[in-house]
Amino acid sequence: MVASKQDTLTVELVVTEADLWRFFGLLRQGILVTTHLPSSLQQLLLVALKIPDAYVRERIQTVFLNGKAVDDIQGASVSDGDVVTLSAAMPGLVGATLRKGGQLTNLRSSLSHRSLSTETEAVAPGMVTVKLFNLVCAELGPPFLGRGVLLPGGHFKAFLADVWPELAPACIGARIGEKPVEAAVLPESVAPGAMVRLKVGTQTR
Amino acid sequence: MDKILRIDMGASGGPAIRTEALGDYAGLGGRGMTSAIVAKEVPPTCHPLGTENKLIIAPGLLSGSAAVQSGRISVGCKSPLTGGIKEANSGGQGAQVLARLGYAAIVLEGKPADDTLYKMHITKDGVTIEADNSLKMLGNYDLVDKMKAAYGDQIACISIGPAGEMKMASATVAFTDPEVRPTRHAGRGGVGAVMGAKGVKVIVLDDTGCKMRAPADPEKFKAANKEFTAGLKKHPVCGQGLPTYGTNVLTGVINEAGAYPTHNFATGRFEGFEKISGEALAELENSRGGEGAATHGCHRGCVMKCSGTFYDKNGNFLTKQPEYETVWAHGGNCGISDLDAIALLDRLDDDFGLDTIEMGATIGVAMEAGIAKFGDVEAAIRLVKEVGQGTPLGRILGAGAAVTGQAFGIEHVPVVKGQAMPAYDPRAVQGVAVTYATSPMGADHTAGYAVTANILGVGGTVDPLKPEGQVELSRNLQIATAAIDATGMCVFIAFAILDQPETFQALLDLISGFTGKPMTGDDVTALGKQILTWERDFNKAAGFNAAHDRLPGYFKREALAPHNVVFAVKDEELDQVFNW
Repeated sequence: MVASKQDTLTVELVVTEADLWRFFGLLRQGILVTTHLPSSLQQLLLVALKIPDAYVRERIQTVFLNGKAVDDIQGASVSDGDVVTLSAAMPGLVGATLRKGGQLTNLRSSLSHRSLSTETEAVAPGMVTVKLFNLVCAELGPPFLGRGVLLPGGHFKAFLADVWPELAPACIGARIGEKPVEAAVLPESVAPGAMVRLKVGTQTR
Repeated sequence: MDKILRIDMGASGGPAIRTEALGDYAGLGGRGMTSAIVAKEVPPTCHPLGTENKLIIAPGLLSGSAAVQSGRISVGCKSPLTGGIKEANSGGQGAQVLARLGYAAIVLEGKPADDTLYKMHITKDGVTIEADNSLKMLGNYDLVDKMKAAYGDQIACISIGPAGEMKMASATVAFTDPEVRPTRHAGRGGVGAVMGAKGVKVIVLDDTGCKMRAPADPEKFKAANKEFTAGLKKHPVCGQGLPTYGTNVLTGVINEAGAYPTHNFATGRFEGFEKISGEALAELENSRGGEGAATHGCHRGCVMKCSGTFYDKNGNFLTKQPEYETVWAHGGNCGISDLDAIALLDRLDDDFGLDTIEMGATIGVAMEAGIAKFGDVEAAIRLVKEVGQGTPLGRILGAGAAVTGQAFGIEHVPVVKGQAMPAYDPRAVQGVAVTYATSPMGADHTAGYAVTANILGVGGTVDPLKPEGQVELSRNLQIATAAIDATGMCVFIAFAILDQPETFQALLDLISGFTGKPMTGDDVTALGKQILTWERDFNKAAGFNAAHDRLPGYFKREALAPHNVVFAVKDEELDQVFNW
């Protein structure tokens, strides 16, 4: 399930800092991360995603692996095709029950992730979807977008259809691969099936 | 807050006003006050809309003081929706203003012999009540505008919309916010119908010339308030997440957990969640701008500011930021992923005086019955308007999800004790479902919101690995929440208390600094147990038994996607929740 370079379209955009939030919806839908799998969830966050350890411990308080709440990110094993969701601490009783290692974890025992042995699985390149929510998205979004994120082409196409008409006039620069393009023609340059490596920088107008 | 205002709406010659000392009710506030009066004075078997029922409106113990987050007000009665005891609470200015006027409670008793509608005006100089049939069938917004024109804009209003006048079981009591808009509601259980039965359209409060309530120990109170405020502000939920996104921040996370009831609780994930998430809502509000866009407090003295202000595409005020429960009820539960439509539905609910949870759940049942298709925005708006207009279909829908399910022959009706479940599927988060099943209030998400057993030391610490842990946690959470509801404190303080022992201590110091009496965790526990005991005893005398502490059978039988889980807590375990 690893994307080849031939399948991947590289898109680089420059917008003002004030417009960067418009890309956050893409991060909530999920970015694709290629790495060697299986690996521990902690390894994925610290090494593959380069998130600082303190941030993982303190800010990322709600973690899902395939929709199940994770309490032990060191013990949770991530495999090819898995979906990881990262969120800050959430309000409400249910929000509190979903937090990693909280005092209310028993209230959602049927939703808790149980670590399964992956010792028999050979380590190989694979791909994981990572979704960023709320404050985690607002805080990790800018550096992730600055470094570049891999996206399903369909998500990017839908983004261009929904958001681009309003955002294009404010776009300061756009490139596909090495080639500069007019912002207005971007939607027709992205094929639905291709994966997109999207890099978004900011600049003051 | 040293007196109770009683108005006998059925007195010969017109409403009779009397003011009493607190007597046996001294030291009570909020839910403690409302449930004590209902338990002691209302015959449990009476008709909720009859002369024997009473409507009690009580600010919290700390309301009207300088204590931050102390602006909750409770409304209690026998519920026309559940048939049991009800406490519904609300933010807005009502608690602060009523408390500064010196009233620990307003009690509406009896009922008028005819359908005359009354308005009350309470100032430091006294109380007046007069008939005013020109107010009939006004929406809350027009009503409040009329009161502002008559009494000025330094008022707070407690009112009902047309739904309350029509005595619908999903009718609310509305409270105005700091901008004097009727955006805050004691929503659950049909308390607005009881106010309508009493013939009271609006209570206008004006605390001009009144002072803030003074603490018994000013130094201790001031220091504790400072520490408590700092604790709230530094906490990631209270100080950052809620102010930035509001309660609707939960949409993405609950959806990801597969616990987001979709299409009338048919599945646990909603395809269109991203468009109605808290992040999308805050981004939309911020992009449209305007005063208090994505961050706004519902009452003065709020430092968390978890609300916001929703302006339409043209920049005109439409409603307050819809809460998570509202966005879910009118959104995912009905297959709707349009924030402007959801905001309009919220505005209509507030104007007609309808509980957004009950209405969204009811429309979900109606959609399952084929009255409209899931995702049909225009139909959802039309149905709410039918409720506000009181058409025959609207009367059925306004009676709530349970009645609507009966009327249209639907088994899938997500209610407990006749009250619609909120925005968490009980099969996915089963510990919360224990509270849904056993709360004396009916399915209620706020009944188990507060602090844990391990902090309060209620019944010792809970081992989360033991199977009985869910029941014990639910019990302890219900005890703690009942006590918090008596203080007038916003439930959202719970997260800072949960995580920061020094903030919990600051809360205890704040209460004892105000009352001048020592306050410990044990005192909080005793208060919570007392309130729940009053409520359970009332319900028992009203005819409730263990069979009412159950979820509808299909939650045990029909698995919820994506995790394919059913509700598995045994009946015998549910029956142990109140064995303390």
